[in-house]
Amino acid sequence: MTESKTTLPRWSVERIRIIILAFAVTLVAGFGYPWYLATTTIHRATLPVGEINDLTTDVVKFNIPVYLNLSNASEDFIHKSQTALNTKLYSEYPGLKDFWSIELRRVIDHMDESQDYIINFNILPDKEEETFETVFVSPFSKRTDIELTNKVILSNRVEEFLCDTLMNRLFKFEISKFNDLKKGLNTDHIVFPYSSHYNLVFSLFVEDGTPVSWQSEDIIGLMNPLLQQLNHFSNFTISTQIQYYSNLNIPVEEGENLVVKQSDLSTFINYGDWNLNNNDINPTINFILYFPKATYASKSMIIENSKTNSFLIPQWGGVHIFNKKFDVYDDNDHFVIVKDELIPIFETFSSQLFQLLGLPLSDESDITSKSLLMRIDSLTRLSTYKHYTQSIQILKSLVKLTNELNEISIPEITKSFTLDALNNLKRCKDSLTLQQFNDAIIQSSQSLKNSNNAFFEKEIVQQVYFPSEHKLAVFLPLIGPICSMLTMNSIRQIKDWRSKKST
Amino acid sequence: MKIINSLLAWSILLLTVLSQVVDTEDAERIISESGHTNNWAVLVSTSRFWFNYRHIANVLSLYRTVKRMGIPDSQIILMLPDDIACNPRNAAPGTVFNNMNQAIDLYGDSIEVDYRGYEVTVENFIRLLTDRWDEDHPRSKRLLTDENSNIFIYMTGHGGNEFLKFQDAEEIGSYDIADAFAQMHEMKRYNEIFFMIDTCQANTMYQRFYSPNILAVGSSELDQSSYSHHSDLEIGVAVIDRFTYYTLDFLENVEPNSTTTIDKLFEVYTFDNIHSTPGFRTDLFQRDISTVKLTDFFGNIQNLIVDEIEDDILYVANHDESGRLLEQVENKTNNVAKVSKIDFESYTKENQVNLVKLSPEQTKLIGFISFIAITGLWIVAK
Repeated sequence: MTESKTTLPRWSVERIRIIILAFAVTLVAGFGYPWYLATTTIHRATLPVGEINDLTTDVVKFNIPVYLNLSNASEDFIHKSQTALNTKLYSEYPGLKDFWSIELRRVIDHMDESQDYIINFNILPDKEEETFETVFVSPFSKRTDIELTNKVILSNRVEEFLCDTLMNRLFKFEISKFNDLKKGLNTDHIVFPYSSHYNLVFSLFVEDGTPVSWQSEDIIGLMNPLLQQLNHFSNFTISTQIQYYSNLNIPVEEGENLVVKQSDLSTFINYGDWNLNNNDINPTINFILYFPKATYASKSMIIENSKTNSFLIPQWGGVHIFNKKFDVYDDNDHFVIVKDELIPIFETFSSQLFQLLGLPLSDESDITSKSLLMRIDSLTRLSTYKHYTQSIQILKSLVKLTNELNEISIPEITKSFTLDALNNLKRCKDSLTLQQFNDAIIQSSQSLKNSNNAFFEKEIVQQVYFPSEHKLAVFLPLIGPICSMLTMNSIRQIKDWRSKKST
Repeated sequence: MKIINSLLAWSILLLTVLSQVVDTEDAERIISESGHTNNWAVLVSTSRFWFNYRHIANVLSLYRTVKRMGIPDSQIILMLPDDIACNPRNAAPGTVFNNMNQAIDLYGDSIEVDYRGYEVTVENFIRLLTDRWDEDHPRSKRLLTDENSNIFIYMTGHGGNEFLKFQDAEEIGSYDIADAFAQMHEMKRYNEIFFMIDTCQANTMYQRFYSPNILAVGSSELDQSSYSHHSDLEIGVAVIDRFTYYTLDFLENVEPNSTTTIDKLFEVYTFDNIHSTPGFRTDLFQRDISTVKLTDFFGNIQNLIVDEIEDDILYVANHDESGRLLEQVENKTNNVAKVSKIDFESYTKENQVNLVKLSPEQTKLIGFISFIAITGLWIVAK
C-alpha cells in the first residue's frame, strides 16, 4: 500500500472515492434514470380532447325532400302546405324542432320514384255517387298517389290531407322513433347490435335421423333482392345447414297434436346439445326450421296460441316449427321440403329479420307504409343518428377514462382512430346537409367503427396494479448492492474529513 | 253439528283462499325485472397442478350449472389452467367429481374450454373483460356483451389480502378488477354483474368496486381461509371447497325456469356450512336481492315474441308493380363459395427473380473482383 502511494501519489484514496461517487452519480443520472423512465413511463398520446368535448348531436339535422306532383296548382300551395305541416309536426312533437323536417318541393322532370319521395295528386271527376279521398302508398317504390275530390279542394283542406298522409302514413314510424331517441328513450331489446357484416344461418334441425332435404337454394335466391336493398346498411353472408338428432329438452303435451307451451319456449333451443356455434368474426343471425319426428305419425307440433307456429328470440334469431302435410304417406323415408312449402316460412323469417335489424313492420291494422324502400330509408336515417350519437359517446368515454385512470396507456393508433372518427362525423354531417342519406350512414357507421377501434385498441390495457412493496421487491436486488457500496464509501470519506479537520 | 261442520268447511275454504291470495301477492312482490336480454358467464380458475384439483372442480361446478340452466356455450367463457381430468394421477380418468360419492361428473361429455393452460393470465382476463383483442380474435373467446347483458363472474384460486394469484406466476389486484369493471360500465358492456369469488380472504377482492349494478359475494373475510369440503381417498386430494360445494348443492335443485330468488342461495352460506364468514356486497346493486331471480344470472330466460309477423315482405322484394317476378340479380353471397384460381405463374416468377437487384453479369464481375481482392490480401498477409 505504501509503495503504491509513493509511486502514484496523485491517486489518493480521497480522489478515488470522489471519482467513484462522481461515476456513480453520472451513471445514475445520465443513464440509469433515463433508462428507468424510458422503460416504465406509459405512453400517452395527446387526444384531441377539446374537439371531442365540443362534439354534440345538436348539429345533426335531417331534412327530407318530398316532391309533389301538382299539375296546375300554384306555387303558393307548396308554401302553405309546408307551413301547415311544420305547425302540425312541431306542435305534436316539439322535440323534433330544428332537428327533423320534411321539405316539400315541386316535382322536377325525370324523377325516379325508387329514389325520391313522390306524391301524385289526382282529382277525381265529379260524379253523381259519392266519391272519397284515397291514399295509395306503393309497396314497390317511394310513390304515393292521393286522389282528391272537388269537395276537399273547394274547402281548402288539401294541405291538411297532405300533412296527415305524411305524418301518419309515410313517416309515422320514423317520427315516433326519432322523438324517442331525442328524449333518450331506447327500448329496443330485439335489435341486433350494429355490425357492418352479418351472417345469416338458416338451419334445418331434424328431430331424428330420417333423411330430410330442403330446396333452400331456390328460396335463398328470393332473399337476395331484399338483402341487396340493405347493402348500404350492412352486408350479409348466407349459409345453410341440416342437422339431425336434435332432441328437444322441454316437456311437450301429447295428445292429438303435440303442444309446446309458451312458457317453455325460452328453453326450446337446446343450446347444450345442438351445435349452433359459429366462430365467425361477424355476428350471426340464426333462423331455425324445426322438423319434429311426430310428422311421421301425421301429428303436428304446435306452439300454444300461435298462428304462424313461429317465434322470435331477441338479438338471436327466429324459429319456426314445420309440420309437413302428406297426401299419401310414401314409404321411401326421404322427405323433401319443397319451395312452395318454404315460401311462407321464409316470409316469416324475413319479417323476423326486419325486426332483428330494427326495420318497422306493418300489419293490416296499422297504417304504416308497406313500402320496402321507404322503410329502409327510415332505418337508414335512424341508424345514422344512432351511430352518430354512439360514436360521440364512445369518444367522450375514452376521454373520461383516460382522465380517470392515470396508469392507462394511450397509443398513437388510438389517436389516429380518434381523428378518423372525428373526420367521419364531419363528413356525415356534410352528407346530411346535402340530403345524401346513404352516404351519411356509411360515414356514421365508419365513425362508429373507428371510435370503437380507438376505445378497444389492444394496447390500452390497464397497467397491472403494483403495490409499492412489490416495486421495492423488484428494484432492491438492483439498487441494493450499488447503494450499500456508495453509502459505505461516503461514510468513510466523511469520517476522513472529520479526522482531518480535528487534526 | 252440521252448522259447525259447515262453518269449519267455510273457514278452511276461506283460509285456503286467503293463503292463495298471499301466495300470488308474494309472487308479484318477489320478482323484480332485471331488464336484460342475454346472460353471460365468465368462470375462472387460477390454479394449476394436481393438488389444486378442488379449484378446477369448483369452476366446473359452476360451468355445469350455467350450462344446465341454459346459457349457450358461446356465452360461457371458461378459463381452465390445468386439465386434471386427464392428469396421469387421476384414478378416474376423464372425470372430475365434486364429491367422493362420485355422483356428478362435472367434466361431462361436452366441455368447451375457452382459455386453457398458460393462456389463463391476468392480462387475458383483463382483456376479456374490457374486450381489447386483436381483430382476428375468435368470437367464441370474447365477452361480447352489451348494455342488456347480465354477467355472472366466478373466480377461484389462491387469494390473499386484495389479490388473487394466477398460476404461481402473477397476481391480479382488487384495483385491477375494479378498474376493469369501471371500463365495462363506461362502455355499456353490462346491465348487471354478479361477482362470486371463492378464495382465501375473498371478501377483500370486491371491496374496491365502485361501478354500479354489481352484486358481489365472497367466501371468506380478511385473514380467513376458504376451506375445502372433504377429500376423496381414492383420488387422494381435496375434491371441492365448502363454499362452492354448497352453492352447487343448492343450484342442482333449481330448474331452468325457476323463480327462486338469489337471497335463498345466500341463506345457504352459513358459518356452519362453510367454516368461514361469507361476505355480501349489495350497496352497488340497485335491486333488493330478495326480489332478484337466480335465473337473471344463471339462466337464459328471454322474453320471446310470438306471432308478430308481417306477410309479403319477400313478395314485395321480388315483384314489381305489375306483379311480375323480378329478374334474379346475381348476388355477391353466391360468389363466396367460389374458389378463386391461384396464380401459379407469379410463384415461378418469384423463384426466378434474384434477391439482389443485379444482372447475372454484374454478380459475376463482383465475384471476380472480390476473389482477386481477397487473394491479394492473403498474399500481402503472407
